[in-house]
Amino acid sequence: MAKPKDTKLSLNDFGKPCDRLAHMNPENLMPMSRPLDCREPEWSPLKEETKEKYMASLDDTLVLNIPRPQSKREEQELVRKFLSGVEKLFQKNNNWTFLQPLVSTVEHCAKCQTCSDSCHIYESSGKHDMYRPTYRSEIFRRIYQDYIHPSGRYHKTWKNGGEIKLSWLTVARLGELSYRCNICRRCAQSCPIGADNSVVAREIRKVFSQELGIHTVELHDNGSMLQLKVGYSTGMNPEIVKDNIEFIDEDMSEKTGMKLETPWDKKGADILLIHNAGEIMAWPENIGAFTAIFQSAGLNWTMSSEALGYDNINYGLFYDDVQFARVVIKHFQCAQKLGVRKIVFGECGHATKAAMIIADRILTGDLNIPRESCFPLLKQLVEGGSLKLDPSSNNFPVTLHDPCNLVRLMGIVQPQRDVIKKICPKFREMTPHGVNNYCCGGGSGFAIHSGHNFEEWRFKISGRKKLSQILNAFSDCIEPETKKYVCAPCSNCKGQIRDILGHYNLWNDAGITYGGLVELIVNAMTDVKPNYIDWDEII
Amino acid sequence: MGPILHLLTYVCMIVFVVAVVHKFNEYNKMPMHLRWELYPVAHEGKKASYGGSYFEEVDWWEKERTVDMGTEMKQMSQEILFLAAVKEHNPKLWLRTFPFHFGMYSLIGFLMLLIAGALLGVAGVDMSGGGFGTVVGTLTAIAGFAGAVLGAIGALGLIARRLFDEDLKDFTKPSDIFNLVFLLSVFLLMAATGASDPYFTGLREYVQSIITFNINYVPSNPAAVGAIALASLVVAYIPLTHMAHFVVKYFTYHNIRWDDRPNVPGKDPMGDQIAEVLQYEITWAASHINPNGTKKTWAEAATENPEELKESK
Ligand code: SF4
Ligand code: SF4
Repeated sequence: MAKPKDTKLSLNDFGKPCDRLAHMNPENLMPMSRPLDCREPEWSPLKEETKEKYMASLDDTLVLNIPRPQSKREEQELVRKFLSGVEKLFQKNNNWTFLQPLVSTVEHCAKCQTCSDSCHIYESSGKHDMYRPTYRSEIFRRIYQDYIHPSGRYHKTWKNGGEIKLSWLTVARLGELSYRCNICRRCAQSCPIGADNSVVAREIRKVFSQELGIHTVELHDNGSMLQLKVGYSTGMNPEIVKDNIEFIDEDMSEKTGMKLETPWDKKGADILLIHNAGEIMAWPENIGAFTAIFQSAGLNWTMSSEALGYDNINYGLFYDDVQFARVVIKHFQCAQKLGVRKIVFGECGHATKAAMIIADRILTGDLNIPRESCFPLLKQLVEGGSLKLDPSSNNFPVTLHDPCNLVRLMGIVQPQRDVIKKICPKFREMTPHGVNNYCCGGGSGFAIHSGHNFEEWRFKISGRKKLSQILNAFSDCIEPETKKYVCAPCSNCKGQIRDILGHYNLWNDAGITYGGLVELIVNAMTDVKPNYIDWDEII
Repeated sequence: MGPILHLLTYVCMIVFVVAVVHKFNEYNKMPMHLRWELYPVAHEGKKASYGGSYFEEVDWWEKERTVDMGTEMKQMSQEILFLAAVKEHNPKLWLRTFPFHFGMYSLIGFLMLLIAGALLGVAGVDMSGGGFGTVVGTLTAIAGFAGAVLGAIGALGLIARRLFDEDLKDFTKPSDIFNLVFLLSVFLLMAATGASDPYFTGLREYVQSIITFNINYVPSNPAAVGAIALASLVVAYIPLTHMAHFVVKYFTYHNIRWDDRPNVPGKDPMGDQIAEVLQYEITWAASHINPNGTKKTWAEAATENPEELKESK
């Protein structure tokens, strides 16, 4: 079938001055199944003052907010700084962290497009050329090869097929385009060469952050900076966090009938549990469920009340290596002070990967503290008999979302399945699942971005494939009378799935809700009050 | 003619070796990077079948880590010989790229057999007198024809795809077409050589002359002379282009995708390497990193409080 004309975009057009380079026509978006088998509405337009203030001409939305240069000099400065940053990406002192993955991708991608069909963003958009995994990489590659690589000026057309016009607009659009990728690395999995376009997206974000000081407010100012300043990215300091958790303990004690009490700052504890502190405000029942499980199983555990010690978030993972390292070091210093045997991370994919994998080659000596995901431990508790469980309490259809960071990028695939299979008699897998899963669409920090109309982009484009998988998993019982549960054991994914189910009104229209893994476990525990998952509370 | 042809072959062989060694060193000398593996990791043994890792175990750092080279070798050979990833994810491309690559592998086998035949010739074995010599001669003919025909079919298919496929056209550069046409001409000249000399006797004698430095030898078949000249040039050219991915793939798989070596807590096997990279000087200029342009190392930048940097600005 011929590609619709408005899904085509030539590489040479990337720097073309115009109001909007690409429009994701709702007509072209990937079709959905019942009850969403109808046309999407048009995009809410960006405000005129937004367009005047920022470079907003990439597509239908805006997230990075790059200010429009006010003079020729400012335009040139933007380009100069960008090129200086790109050059640093290829220097071992400045970018030892990702030099080899970046160089191998830039130099050896065969442009075979095998990776395109693996990308949910490309597929959901109706295969718009701009959202190919290779599109932004190729623009970046050509800029690098034409303007940075020593031999570039001699072989532009020969090696690159044409010169990319380097203007402030090209640079700013490329920065914005680096925020149209979830960095889920599904595309990399299908690449026969081992090239990885997600690396290019992330490295472009790094140039903007580490060299130009341009980042999204959500990841930087209200994210890593605030976290480093007060301890938690919502601005809650240790005292407020302790108060809130105390309140959660009380609330959940009432709900479970147990006397829940979170242990704080217990020196020499076996386990330091670090949650994504976003759960405190958004999903207190997740925090309460961990406490109920750990307490029932008699574990020797603690939480830290020191700044950063209670919040495993590390947004540097998505845009800035230096901020990443700063946050991770603080996390481990908290654990070191308590002298715990190991750190266990709550249900948060990016934080678990950040601390276990990415930080593995930053932390040494005393800071290199043993650490693990909560899933294997939960499996041990569920299978080992330390919890009394009755699966019939979970006698409703359940499907499982695989958070990319934990599954495709860490290989933690089976423990959470073993738990669910043991306690959810009506469990069904999504297709595909495990390491071949699709991102929820909130990956790489998108779940916390909603400015302008970016939320619409998360719903219509990046979250579309996951939603389609969810609907398909429940296609045999899609009517709203059957209550269904999407288990999304990761804070970021949970936020995205909450937003997308809410946007499409799928609780009312299809009876679908969502939550974590520990809530299902407590819901099945026989020595707590029934109905930890309370369908009547869902609105 | 003979000395020029031999000189060309010798020079191209040297360029090939130097370029491959250079490429390997370029990647091998790069500093350690952060972990960036992607599952399934082939050497995870039974867990590799579904993409699992040692992180699925409680207290994983206390357990013996098993690296199953058997599953890794199996997956590598499927990848190298049959281009398994392309077959799975892009079957349309596989129909073209598999014959192309298999054609090249056959020609590598063909070259090995030519060398074997040339050595037998030096040892005085009659290649057409039955026995071992004939077996080698027959295998040479099969590998030569198979390589030329498969390679030519694949190259033609890839050229057509690069030129006409909607998904690829915009990404295709003049050098991509040149590379494919270059290789196609080698495949075609090889086929033409075989058409008039089915046992590739001229080529075997040429290989023998290369081994014995008999630089005045020139095959009588003009197609063979063309094939030798172009094949020599292709051999030198490939490692200078992105087609050097046959070297780089080693790193993208072993050093990136499948590199799950842990810096085991308590043992810290990578402590020295980490200490080294953390001493690298960092010149990123954003205000939260280096507002005053002062010299600092990664270790210093990573332990600074960006709020204090703001104040010092
Ligand atoms: S990244 Fe890999 S799959 Fe994608 S175009 Fe490049 S070589 Fe092909
Ligand atoms: S990393 Fe994920 S979102 Fe980004 S291009 Fe690849 S498949 Fe698409």
